[in-house]
Amino acid sequence: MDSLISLIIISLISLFFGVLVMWVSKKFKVEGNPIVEQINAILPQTQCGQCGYPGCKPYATAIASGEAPINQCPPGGEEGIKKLAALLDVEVLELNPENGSEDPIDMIVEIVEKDCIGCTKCIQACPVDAIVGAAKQMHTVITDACTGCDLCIPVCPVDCIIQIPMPFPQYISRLEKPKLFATIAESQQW
Amino acid sequence: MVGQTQTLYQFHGGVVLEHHKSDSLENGLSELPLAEKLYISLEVGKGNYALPVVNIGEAVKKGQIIAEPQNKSGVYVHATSSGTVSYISERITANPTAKAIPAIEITTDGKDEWLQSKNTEKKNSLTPSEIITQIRQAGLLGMGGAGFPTHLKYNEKNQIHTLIVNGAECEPYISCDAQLMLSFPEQLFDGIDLMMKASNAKQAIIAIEDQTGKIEHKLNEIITQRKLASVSVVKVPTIYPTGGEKQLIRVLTGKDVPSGGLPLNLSIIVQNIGTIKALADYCNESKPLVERIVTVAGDRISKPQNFIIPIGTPINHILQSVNCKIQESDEVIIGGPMMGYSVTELSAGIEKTTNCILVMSKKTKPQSPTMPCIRCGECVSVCPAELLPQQLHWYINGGNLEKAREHHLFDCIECGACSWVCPSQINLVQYYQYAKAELKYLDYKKNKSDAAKLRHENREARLEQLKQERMNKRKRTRSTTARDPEKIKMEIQASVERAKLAKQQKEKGDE
Repeated sequence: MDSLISLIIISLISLFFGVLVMWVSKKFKVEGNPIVEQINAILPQTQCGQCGYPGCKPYATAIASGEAPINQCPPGGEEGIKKLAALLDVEVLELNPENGSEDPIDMIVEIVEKDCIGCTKCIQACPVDAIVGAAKQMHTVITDACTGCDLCIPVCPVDCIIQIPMPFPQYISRLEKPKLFATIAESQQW
Repeated sequence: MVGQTQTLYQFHGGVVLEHHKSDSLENGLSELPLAEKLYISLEVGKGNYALPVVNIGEAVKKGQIIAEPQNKSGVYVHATSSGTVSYISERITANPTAKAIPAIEITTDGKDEWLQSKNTEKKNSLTPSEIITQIRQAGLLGMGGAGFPTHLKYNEKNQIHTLIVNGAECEPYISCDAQLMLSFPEQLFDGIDLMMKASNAKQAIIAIEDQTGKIEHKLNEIITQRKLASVSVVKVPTIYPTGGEKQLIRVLTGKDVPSGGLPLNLSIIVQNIGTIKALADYCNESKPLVERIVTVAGDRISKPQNFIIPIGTPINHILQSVNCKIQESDEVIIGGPMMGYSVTELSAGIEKTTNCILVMSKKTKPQSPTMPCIRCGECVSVCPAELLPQQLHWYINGGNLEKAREHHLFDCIECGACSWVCPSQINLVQYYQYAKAELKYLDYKKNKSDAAKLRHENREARLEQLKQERMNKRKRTRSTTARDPEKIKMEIQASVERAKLAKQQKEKGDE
């Protein structure tokens, strides 16, 4: 008899919690995959497609599903790989050379305006709407919005798009990291 | 108020340094021969440049406006001697970044003529907002070293109760502020009066170092003479860095400026005495900020002294005039030995913030190798900002800059006290400067990438919308063209009948 009562009580409790869990999961349902968003936040958002996916979000989705390794993003570079590895708790990998190499300085593009014929091909190629212009009118790149993905360079029929170093506001001037000797032996060589 | 003793507070840490100031003070104030060329920097606030309003070849008078600010935070730039504008271009100036920035070169004519000003009468009845405009027109930048545009500190809406007049330069060698108080005390009090009016402050405290007895006496004399009830002179202990803005507030009021905040949060304005005197000069004599007192000292200078030097005078001209020949083992430092920076481009012109030029022999500063950090904690005990220098160094060295930011890296005032006491000879400040610059860079990139993400998403959404619209349109046209078979049959019938009718009529006509 005792065992029957306890069986009933336990079943009731489990039923109650089962319903509660169902209700909570419906009420607080998370839209989309949160891990994709987290990965996407680390990716540099150049939308350059060097990883083999059409933009940063698709690559983030591919990483999240385990389809792609974390070392296919050259603009993100070593730092980006380290951050991804920390987020996903996987091993840090070398950047895959097939996807390209990390640029030591930040570059963006510029249209040589006197050579532009106004074909609008670059406007269609730009993933961040950073090129303005109309058919048969000169085009120009919005410097602040350009991510340096270089997708406009191959589509230009007259090769009038060139790479330039990214202009920074005056208050940004990077310094070299000071060197520290890790061991006494190293410092004695100095 | 004279003779009133004020309770002083202590700030955390700090170091006691040798003074080296009496030599240059004893030799008094003098002037140098005018340089042939002046290089006037157009930087008016960090990363903010004024636009030249003169052309190459144009003759200018001393005090004439040669560049106007591009925005409200900028100030005016004046010619610092008479002559002709010979060049407008980017040049390396006496700036810590040693970057080329826009500058105007003036070839002097030796006459040093002032621009004839229209009104020279004493401006007694200025309203606060008028004074703030005057501050901007006089081209005032914080002359203590930071170069913050002065007029930005003043706003009629701000409730200010105390104006702290910073005459406590706590770095060794630098005596230009002390010299100014000895040579121009009257102008200083005129300026304090104006600044108090502009800020609506109820009291002013002149902070001076406790090792300068003559100055206190002199200032108190004027206070009694002018019967100033709201101005007092306070001696603060010479512990480096008492002259720092936040440290000085702590010493005088016992209050701490909140992390990431400004003295304004405590209703206090701290102003360097050089800036205050410059305002008095402009309001009384219409002389904008064209010259400043610079201490020229160091162990390679035979006669350390303070000089009144026009802004833009090249450093090598100053050194030549005091008979100092630079050898290879010498280091020329702008600012004091603690926070100063060495310059290699000696043709650079001095700026409004240049308070001291030190020429040191490298032999004086024996260099020994940097050793690893042993986490002794010496730096913690001297840090005036109450940070953990060793921990910051640990994070920065390991590349964990975000962690350093969490540990309030940006509250570091770069005073160099930690580097000074470090038994391992680690130049800690260099790490903090590197990390601050790098974090600013990374933040900029992060903002840019966020903006790019948004633009990309907007574009995707727009393309998707266009696609949808096209599909809908096609569907709609298809639905209007699609017909009922019955209707089609009837239409065909109708047209056949029409044709028959036409044929019959035609036949009729033929007949």
